[in-house]
Amino acid sequence: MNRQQMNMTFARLILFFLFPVTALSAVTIETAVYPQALAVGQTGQYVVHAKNLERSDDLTLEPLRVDGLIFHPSPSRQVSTQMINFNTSREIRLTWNFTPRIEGLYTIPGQQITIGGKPVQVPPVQVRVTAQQEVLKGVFDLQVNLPQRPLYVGESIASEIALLIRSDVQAQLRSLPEKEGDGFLQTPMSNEFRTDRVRKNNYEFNRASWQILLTPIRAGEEKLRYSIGIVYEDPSAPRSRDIFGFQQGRVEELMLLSPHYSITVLDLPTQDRPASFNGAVGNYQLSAVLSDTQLRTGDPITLTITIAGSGNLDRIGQPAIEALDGWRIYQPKVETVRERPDSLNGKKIFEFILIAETTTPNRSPDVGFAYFNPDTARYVDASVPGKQVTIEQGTTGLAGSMNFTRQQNGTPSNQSLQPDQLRPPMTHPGKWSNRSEAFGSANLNSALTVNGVLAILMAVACFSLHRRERSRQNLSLQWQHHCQQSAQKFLSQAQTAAKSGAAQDFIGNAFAAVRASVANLDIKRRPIDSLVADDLIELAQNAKVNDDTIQLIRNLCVEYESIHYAGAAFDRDSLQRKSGELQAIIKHLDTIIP
Amino acid sequence: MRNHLKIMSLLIAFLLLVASPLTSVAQSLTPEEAFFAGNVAFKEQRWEDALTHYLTAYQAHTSAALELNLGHVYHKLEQPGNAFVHWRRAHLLQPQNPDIQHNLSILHSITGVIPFPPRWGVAFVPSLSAGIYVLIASLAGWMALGLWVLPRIIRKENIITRLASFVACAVAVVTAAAAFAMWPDPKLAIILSDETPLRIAPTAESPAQTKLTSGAHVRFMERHHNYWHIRTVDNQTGYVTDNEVEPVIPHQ
Repeated sequence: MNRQQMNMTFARLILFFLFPVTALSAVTIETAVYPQALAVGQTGQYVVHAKNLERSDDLTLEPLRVDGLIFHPSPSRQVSTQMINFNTSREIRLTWNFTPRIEGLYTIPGQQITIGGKPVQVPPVQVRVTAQQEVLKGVFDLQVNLPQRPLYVGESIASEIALLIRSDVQAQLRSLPEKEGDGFLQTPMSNEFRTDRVRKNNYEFNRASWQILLTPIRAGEEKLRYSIGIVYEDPSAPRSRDIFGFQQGRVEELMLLSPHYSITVLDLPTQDRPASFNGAVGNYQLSAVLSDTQLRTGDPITLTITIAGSGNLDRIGQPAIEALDGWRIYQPKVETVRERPDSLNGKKIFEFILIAETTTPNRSPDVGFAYFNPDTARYVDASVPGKQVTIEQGTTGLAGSMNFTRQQNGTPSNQSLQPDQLRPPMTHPGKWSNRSEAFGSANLNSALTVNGVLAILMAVACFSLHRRERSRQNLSLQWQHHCQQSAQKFLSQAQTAAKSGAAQDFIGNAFAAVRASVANLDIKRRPIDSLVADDLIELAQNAKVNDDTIQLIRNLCVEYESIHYAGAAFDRDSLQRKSGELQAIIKHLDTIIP
Repeated sequence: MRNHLKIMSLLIAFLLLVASPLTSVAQSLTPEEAFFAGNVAFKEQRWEDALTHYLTAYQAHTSAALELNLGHVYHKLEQPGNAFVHWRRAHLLQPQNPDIQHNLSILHSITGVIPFPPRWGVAFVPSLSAGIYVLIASLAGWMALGLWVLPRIIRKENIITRLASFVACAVAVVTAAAAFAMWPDPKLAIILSDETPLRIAPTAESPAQTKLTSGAHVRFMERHHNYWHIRTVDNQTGYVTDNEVEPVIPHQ
């Protein structure tokens, strides 16, 4: 093999190894649906699989929207990294769960996305959706109880959603019933539902039911359907045994759909519609109660209007109050009370605050209210005329200075505040505080600081008092303290006497200091004054005081006796020297623990 | 011609030199200066200008006066929701200020907005800030503990120390209850605009079960992405977006 052939072979080898590298550099995206055909309500998976991605690349798709398929908002994500020929590449697999609602052939459209600055095509994929399996229809059923007559816009109806599950099937709810169709409003679905048993087609069924109120909001042929998510153990699948020997079936997820209900919704008639009609549909009675009929100008009174009956209480607007001269009327407090949340029966209460501005009116304003009765298909005017009132001139004079304010609970108080006059803005900014700390956290911080400081003070006080008390209680410590205090006192007096050359004073105080210091070694704690020179020597020897100190004590005792009884004299220098010796004795004795 | 160009360029350079400090001065108004500028604009009924100035002051700092004045501007701009937010904040900062209380009660009267019932006990305690009650409760609590523990340590316990400890303990309990009653509600929020839909689900497509008025008081329950699950005064629950509701205590 000549050199040229070797070079060619080497080049071929390089190309051979480079081939996978170049093949890796092309990003590919595959899409698939599992299973490719599924029934309405079954859960399928849409998978997007991107290969040969760089380490920094990511895969992000636009939100998926296909009419008839409900995609879960966030996909599950699997990322794997591999190394070929020292070249690292990534694979990302995104999986969306989806549930078809209507049968048919669907195409999940492709997308043009950008990965690593290059455009990449996500291919479209098809999925076939068939009708809900017949076998499931005998096991599950979702029904909605609706009236078999046309409804009127705004008319509230009590309805029941019932889920039937054959009693021999293990199933659990994954979600509450959900409404499809925006032509109706519905009261919130409760987590609590009724359960009972019913018999159908010779089978026992467990039945769960929810009571709701439905209100159509537009006219026309409106479609309504409900769906509910359940998890069940497939009764037709063979049961297997787990490692413990327990039998278990195959668990399936299902989005159960009710039939499509078609309901005719009629517009409310415009003919003979009273001016005071404000959307109330049902059957109602109205009552108006005035809190007081004898009043003075400026006094607030309450006009309570109660609309009781059965119908769309939530959609009833406030009754029309006549704009009668001499009355000031404020916006009402509104309260809706139902017998039960899912009941049509109840009442709506409007509490208006009225203030007589002048003495002219002799009656309260008329209350206008009309409703549409769907049973008779007619409007009913339930307006109530105003009541006779007697108004006197108030003591406060003009209405502008009336005593009125609405407190937090909505009732007037007697503070002297002007109803229409706001207090003016402030001219000075006052104390500035940081916005992030001004509300709440400042209180918390100050509470923590104050309590921290007080806790430390309390701990210090407890500790010092406890120590003091313990030392007070401990007699030996007390005795030691007493002896040391006495010794220090006499020592300082002796040192003073030594400086002034007063030998008698020095020796007396020196002896007293040594006696007090040695008395500390006395286990019997005899009185200090009762100790004589021999006692001091004996105590020092028993306490194993060193010999030099014992000798010094002995000398001191001899000198004390010689001065005390014989009047011996010492010069100032020898007194100073003895003062030093005395200090050394006391210091040494203090170190000895009895 | 060349001379003209020179003169023009010199003039432009001079103007830039003069203008740059001016603009920097305009941008660097202190909160106090912005507050006073807002007051001047308010007095001249230039509501938008007043709002701009007050918001400049409001960037990092606040005060009861600024909150009150902001509420006034929003009231003039017919935004009762924002007016409620700022007057409620002013009330938190100065609960005993009668002007703020008065304005709030007037705004409730005008709008017909019903607030949440006050916590139990609020009617019985003076309107002081929660911080003051916390301080008193802390002092009284520690005093009660001290009067109980310290005499026991020094073995000088008697009926007087016990009585004093009991009284301090009672004061601590009462003021702690008052602090709890006056503590700002972190979940309280205000609806900002009229006709705000109270959605059944946290999606834009969800139908509205009712419409809320500007200034309606609500309480936060939980958050779903950019939606808040809220409860109204009449116990209705539903979802509104972030932009439609403002918490009285700003979120950190």
